[in-house]
Amino acid sequence: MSHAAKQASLCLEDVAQRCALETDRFFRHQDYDPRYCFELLRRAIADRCQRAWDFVYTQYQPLVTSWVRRHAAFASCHEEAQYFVNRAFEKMWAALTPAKFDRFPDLKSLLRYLQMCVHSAILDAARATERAALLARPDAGIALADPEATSVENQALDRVQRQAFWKEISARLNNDQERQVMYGSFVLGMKPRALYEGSPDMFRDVTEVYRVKENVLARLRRDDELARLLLRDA
Amino acid sequence: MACVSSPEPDDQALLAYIDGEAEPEVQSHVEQCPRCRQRAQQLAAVQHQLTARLYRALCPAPQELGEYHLGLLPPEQAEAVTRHLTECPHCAREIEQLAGYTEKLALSVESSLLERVREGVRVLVAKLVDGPGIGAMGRPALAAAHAGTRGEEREPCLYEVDGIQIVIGVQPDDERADSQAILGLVTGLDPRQVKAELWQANRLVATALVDELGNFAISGLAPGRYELSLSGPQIEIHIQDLEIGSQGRAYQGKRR
Repeated sequence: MSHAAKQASLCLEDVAQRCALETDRFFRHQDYDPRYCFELLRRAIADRCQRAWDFVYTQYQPLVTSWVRRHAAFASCHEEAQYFVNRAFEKMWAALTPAKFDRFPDLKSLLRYLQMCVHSAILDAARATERAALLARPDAGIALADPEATSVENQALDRVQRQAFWKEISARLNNDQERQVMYGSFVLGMKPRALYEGSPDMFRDVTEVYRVKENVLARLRRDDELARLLLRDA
Repeated sequence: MACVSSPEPDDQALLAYIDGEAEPEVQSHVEQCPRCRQRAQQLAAVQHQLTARLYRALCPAPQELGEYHLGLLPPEQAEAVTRHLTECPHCAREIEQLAGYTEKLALSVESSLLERVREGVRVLVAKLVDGPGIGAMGRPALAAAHAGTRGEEREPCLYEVDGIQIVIGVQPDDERADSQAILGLVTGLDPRQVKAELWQANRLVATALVDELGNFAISGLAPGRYELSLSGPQIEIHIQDLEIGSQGRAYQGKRR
């Protein structure tokens, strides 16, 4: 019987137990076989087996916690490590469908994906914190988002609304210069001097960037429909 | 409300004032003129409203950026992300962070072991068999040049695995005050192409080649807990929890 066939014939509990044993050997710096852990992940993801996924969580939760703690942005997020551990596992579960599993040839590639999910979970929080700071400015005209607003689903919804708003702005721009100024200023958060230095072929000098910005802002301020959009979202 | 003195700055000048890039005379005018200050505040409010709604509105979600980095996106989606990265410094920075992060994790001792086990390398952990507090046993002598500089009170430690012996001695670093140096000797193993690596908290601290007689030396070390690995083409030996004290003593630390 081939090794793969042998693994496939094992019951889930035995696969999980061997995975735990082999992982333990790995951390003791002894020879170990990664195929049992791969098989456990295969059953969880490719077979969509919730019980296998529970074993995966139990097995890898300590390792993922250590990854969270070692992320450079973790400390500034002011969240418990466990929060990001749960978000990372949720992301992996949601993103890795059975159809996608074939793209992961071994345990290493799956663990690398899980590491990426940790990074992604922490960046979600870092982006939300950055945006909350923008929204919190008293002159932003928008109420501070409540904690629920920073959930992944709400972030996705929020992103769609903000992309639609950019389309409204884009529709009111007359040329590439205006687009460059508005995109750079408000989507990327750049100052006119940085915009000029980034596109010296498009603008004669910094003053020209300011002139374009002044013109567009004056036009947008006269736009009643845009004013209504701003009020509606406020 | 009227402007306190003409000429009244235009919106362009006020935008520069908001950015802290206005000419000194505009700066001073706005600070003295309530009307122009109010105009500047209104302009700033419009800018903040736009920033709050548009800032990073077109950036891919972190998960999408991550899948892009791992080469998992369909070609069209990957192309769109590539285009976005050419103009968005924020996403370019996040991709860089992800690359550094996964590299940092991959550089850990555990991950490198994973690779080596897969490549068929024998990975062994050497155990302390003789050293301070364990009692004298026959141990190979360090090379004369090393032994000659070794302090009498600093006894080396002897580690062993599979017939391979490693003697580790520690002495004050002659080159740098407050630093220590490790002197090692490995026997029972072909020393050719063997490399000594010293790790601390999953970070590679120093590397040294083992000479043809089996000697190696690593200097400039601060007191602390380290892990030493000796790796050759087909073997990797680890000495875990190697503590270097401020008095130049090496001893086996407790497992955390």
